[in-house]
Amino acid sequence: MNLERYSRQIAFERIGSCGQNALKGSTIGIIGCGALGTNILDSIARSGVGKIIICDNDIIELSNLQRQKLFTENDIGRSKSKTAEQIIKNINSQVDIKSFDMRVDKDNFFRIYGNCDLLLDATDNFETRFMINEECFLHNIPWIFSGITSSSGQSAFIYPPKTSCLKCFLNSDTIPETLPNTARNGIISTIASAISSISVTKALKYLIRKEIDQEIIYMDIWTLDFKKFFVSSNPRCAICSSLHKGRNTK
Amino acid sequence: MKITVEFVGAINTGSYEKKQDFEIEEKTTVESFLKTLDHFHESHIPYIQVLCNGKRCAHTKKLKSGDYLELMLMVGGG
Repeated sequence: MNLERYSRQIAFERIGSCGQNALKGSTIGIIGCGALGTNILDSIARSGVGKIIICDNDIIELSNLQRQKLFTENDIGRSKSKTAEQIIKNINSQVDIKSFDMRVDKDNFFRIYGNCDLLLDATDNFETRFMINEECFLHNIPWIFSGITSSSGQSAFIYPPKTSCLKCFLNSDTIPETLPNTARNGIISTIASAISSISVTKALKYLIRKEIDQEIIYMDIWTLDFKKFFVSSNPRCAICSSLHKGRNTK
Repeated sequence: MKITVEFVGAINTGSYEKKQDFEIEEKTTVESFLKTLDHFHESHIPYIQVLCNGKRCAHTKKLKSGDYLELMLMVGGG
């Protein structure tokens, strides 16, 4: 591996050459290739993670270009996942990237992401996130929840029993259609970059040092509100309560 | 009794100020207080994270005089 590309990252003492090797040996999955997904993918690929798996069944539209960093006007109408794969190969040919032009569901989740060391959520809806929460719990895969709308967003590392699970702090069986979303409430590109950067940093810390940030980050890039808070596991959680007695984790 | 509430980030403030004092009854819980804020869809309430005096609290928590609440809506775009 040519390490010159990573020399400035290796010079950062918390990563170093050991950390760089750990990244090289890691596999990351990214679900979704929109504003969060393209920002995350760009940073993960440039950092030298060895293998990346991405999945999105959408095509690139003009309205995406304001915040979806990898794409250009020439890409409109093309598959997001396949286009992103090609662009990442041009950014860092040392990365082994595999794309799936399909929607992730319970039936294909393990086939696509079963060998990942860590999964990064870059979806745009809670329905898929609750599915990720269940599947990652079932298959003992740590994941990072990210969400953005307007100028706000949040990031949370989820790996019970070391952390709470998504259902521990979003204990709802209904997903209201009226929750704010980017089509209705808009979005500025900087919140996508900011939340992606936080989530990718959490990912690097985990892959390199097995460090887990247990606090949820909530921020608003417009008002510059920044909150960190800890969520205890819910002993009656419908998903992860069985783990509170302890389970081996990676 | 009086509590102070701050609406953080993308959460709808309705007709309230971003930071505002509220008079509430003794033994009011976080959830019952949130339901009195009539601009919230009831279905959104589980998606509201609440910090009480800087620490995250469950919606079942009973509020005390002088409590400072920060309300954040978890957002789902990507």
